[in-house]
Amino acid sequence: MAGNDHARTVSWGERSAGIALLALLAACFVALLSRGSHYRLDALLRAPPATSGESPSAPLPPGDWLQTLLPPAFEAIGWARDGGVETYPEDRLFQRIDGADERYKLFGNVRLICASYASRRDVRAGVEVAVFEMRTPLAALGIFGRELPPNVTIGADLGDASYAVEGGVFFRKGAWYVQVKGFGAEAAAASEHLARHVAAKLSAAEAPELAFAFLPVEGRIRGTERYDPRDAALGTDFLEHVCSADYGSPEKPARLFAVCGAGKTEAVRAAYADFLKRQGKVLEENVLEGASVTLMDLDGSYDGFFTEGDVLAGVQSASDQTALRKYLGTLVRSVRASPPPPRGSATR
Amino acid sequence: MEHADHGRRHFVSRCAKAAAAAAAGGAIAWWGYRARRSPQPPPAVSLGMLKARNERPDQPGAPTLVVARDKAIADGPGGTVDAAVLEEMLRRALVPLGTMAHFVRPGAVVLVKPNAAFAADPRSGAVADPHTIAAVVKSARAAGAREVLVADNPIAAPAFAFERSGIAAAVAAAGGTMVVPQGRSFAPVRVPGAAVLPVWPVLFDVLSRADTIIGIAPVKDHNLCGASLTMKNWYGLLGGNRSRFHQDIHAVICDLWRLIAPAAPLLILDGTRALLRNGPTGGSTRDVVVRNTLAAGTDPVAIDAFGVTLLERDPRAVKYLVDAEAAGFGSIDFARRMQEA
Repeated sequence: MAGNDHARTVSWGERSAGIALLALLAACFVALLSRGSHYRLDALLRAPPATSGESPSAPLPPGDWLQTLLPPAFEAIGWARDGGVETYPEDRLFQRIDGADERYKLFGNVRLICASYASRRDVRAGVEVAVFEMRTPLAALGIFGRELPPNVTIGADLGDASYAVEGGVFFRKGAWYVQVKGFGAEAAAASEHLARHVAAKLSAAEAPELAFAFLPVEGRIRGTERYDPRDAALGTDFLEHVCSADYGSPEKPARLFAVCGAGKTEAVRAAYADFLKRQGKVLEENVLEGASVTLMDLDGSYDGFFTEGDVLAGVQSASDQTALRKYLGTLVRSVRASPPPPRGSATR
Repeated sequence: MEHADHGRRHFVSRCAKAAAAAAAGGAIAWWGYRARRSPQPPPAVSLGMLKARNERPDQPGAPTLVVARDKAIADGPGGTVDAAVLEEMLRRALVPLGTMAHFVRPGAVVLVKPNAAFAADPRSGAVADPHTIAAVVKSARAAGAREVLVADNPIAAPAFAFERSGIAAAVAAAGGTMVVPQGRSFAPVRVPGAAVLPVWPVLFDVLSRADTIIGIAPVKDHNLCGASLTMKNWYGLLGGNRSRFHQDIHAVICDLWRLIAPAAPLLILDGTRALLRNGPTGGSTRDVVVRNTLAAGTDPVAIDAFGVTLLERDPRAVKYLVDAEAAGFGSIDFARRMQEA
């Protein structure tokens, strides 16, 4: 009798809710058994495949700045964005430029912002815009110089330095390095338009002077300044924070460089001398403008170097010995005229 | 009072039963979950089990590398490719190797693995030219292939990369089937003798269907390994977070050959252009030179050593080639068994 009383205390609503809960639990159990194998580690490791228009990149920051930087369309020229604006922070650059990402990370990258554009008149005409935000203006200068092809004319009317090649425009401005890549005549016009738009949206900043102050201003080919933090700087594996620039004829320039030895200048000089002697022969070791210089013949190309205080400086790829002596003399005077860098600093 | 005690006992009893039932259910669910998600690695396979294993008789004295040169691109790095010239170059290159019929039997399923890594215009030199891929697809079809699958696992979103490079359209027009990889396309593969490549997800669904495998690689500079050619091309078979291999890039490239070697693939080097700098993505057309060269072969070291010369570099300065030669994969001295076609 008591049992009947208790049975009556469970209403039909409660019974229904209980049955529903049991059914839900059973469904979860069946799903786990049948689908559980899909949640494998290797599947989770794989970057999710994205399709056109989707972005595996980081979410856009608040505000409209990126949409202003790379807008949906450029109505004036009849080009529209093909897909969204994508951003890739430094640690996920590989998702966009695997293999090349280490080059940007070497100099110090913050993120890559990129988008594709296509012509409304001819969908086969496309342009890719890649905006690399680097950590410093020096990093932007460095990667711009690293990727600079030979025999291009560098202008200063777009950002701090720029050049255009068939269909593409490349420039740096402050801490930004921008590639606008296209092919063909129609893409060339669009690339120019897009590059000017992007440049106008980016902030400017002065690059620190560093060892560039040791390099003479006269005769320097505009925009050819290079900064190599390490990794094959001047072809070596031991030089770091090397500043250099091209001089003379753009077709066959000589490269002048300077690097602060950070208190180890003599060791750096010895290593550099050994490095060059493996490639060629010593022409002479002499005193030029009061500095002890070494002149080398590297199979028809002429190099020379010297140390002055905490600075190793030199010339690469002079066309002949006369040019080499001229550049070395100019460089010695320029280094002497510059104030010494702070003690123990690789850069100024 | 008695009624209240009875109700309390009954309540406690029901709570205990419910807890016991929940615990039993949870234990069963956990057992089932663990049974499905074993902590052991999933069973891995080796490509030695593939249909596309080496059953072709070696031809004594035959070249392992054939090079054809012509004017497929007549007007500079940004110029267009003459498809007919390229197809003829391929035909000439394959004749000393026994023609495409030596590699593709009637009714076979062929897997073509191009380097289609980036959503890039082929004029950038960053990907294999669609015309070269199309020529290979047509040649395989002409040799009697029942189906020609073209697959890669690009860095960019696959469908977008295939479309933007023009490869998807070229493959479709040539009679091939472009395969866009999905998560389920990958399976863990064990590489016997691998130095650094662990059991790793590989684009297995197409590999397992293929009777013949053909790799097509562009000639390009590479920021990490110096040169990206036919051996590096197999990197595109890998799934997972493969960027972790950057620090062991030379060893991984050798392991990739260990992975694919049982299939004895035909190797095609697309030297119509060469990306001399700023690889593997490329910078501008100024980084690209026209070489108008197509190479075919079966010796990965020889064909890649030849490719390095198209980059105007010394093959012995490329570490993975030296390591591959030492491992017995082929010979850097490519001229010994090379033939001009």
